[in-house]
Amino acid sequence: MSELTETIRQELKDKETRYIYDDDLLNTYIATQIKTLREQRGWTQQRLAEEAGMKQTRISVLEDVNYSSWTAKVLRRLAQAFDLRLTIKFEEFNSFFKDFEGVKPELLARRSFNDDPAFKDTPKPAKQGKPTVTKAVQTGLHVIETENPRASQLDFPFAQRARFDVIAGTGTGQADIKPGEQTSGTLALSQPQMALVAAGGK
Amino acid sequence: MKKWLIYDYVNEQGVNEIAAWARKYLQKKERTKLNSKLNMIAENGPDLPGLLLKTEVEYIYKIKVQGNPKLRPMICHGPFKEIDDETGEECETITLLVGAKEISWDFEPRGADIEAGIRRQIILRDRKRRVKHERIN
Repeated sequence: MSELTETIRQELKDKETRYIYDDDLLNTYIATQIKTLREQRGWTQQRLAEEAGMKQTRISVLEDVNYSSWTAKVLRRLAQAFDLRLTIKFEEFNSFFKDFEGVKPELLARRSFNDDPAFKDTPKPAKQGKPTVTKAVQTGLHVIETENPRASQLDFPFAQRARFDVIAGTGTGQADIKPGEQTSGTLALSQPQMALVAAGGK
Repeated sequence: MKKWLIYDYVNEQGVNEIAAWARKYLQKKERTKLNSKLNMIAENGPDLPGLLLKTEVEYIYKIKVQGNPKLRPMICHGPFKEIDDETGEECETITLLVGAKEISWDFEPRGADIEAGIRRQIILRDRKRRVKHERIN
């Protein structure tokens, strides 16, 4: 803990001090984050004003650490302009320090929904090595899903004389497994691509 | 993370003028508001939006502390970097030069910004004319 943090920790024990410090921190945090988010998007105050349906002078005021008359309604409009979610929570005073140390542009920047990787639909990374049974759809039916390198082998852990169907992918191999064939054995993929294989009962 | 160190101007007799001003002219609530701003500068730097305002004197800024009265202590960046005792790293600094308030668009004391410019020059000639900031609660 730094000397400054320890000093503040002691000072926060005084009720008047902690409310003054916390008010100031909240105002500073909001003003600095609005400015950071605007600059992160390469927007002028005028552009943000248009996006949020406000006047530029209002944005200028909101970007001042001494401004304290913002409302949840205004912040909600800004959140929508930035395509972000707004959270308002009650917190214990121990969270003061995290926010206090976090009033820095690199920590305040946030990605808009469209740049949020959580909502990007990306293909699954290739699985290597032996396949595993990922799902037993129902009794007597197994599904194997894999993306193997060329010519690697799938060992089917199924009963003899089961019925295998290659639902997707390309498969050839020692047991000559083909869609609809009644057999068991191993499968060597001819291409490094996914094979989805279903094995039914006898 | 980069830290900012804060210094106070001291006069020829070695009196910390900023601490003396805070003790003499500021109520507890005002001192707390000022300390809050100085905390922010020390932790996050002086470039927070709207925190510092330029004055008519080159290199001199006023810290904007909301309230009644309006505290406007005069500061400058630097004018020297210093080694932080805690980390051993070279840090940016700011120096509090004159304790002031703003009443009806005028500084109290009058000409506080000009005096701050003079004091900055004094510090540039003699770096012993500033000391680590003394916190007044």
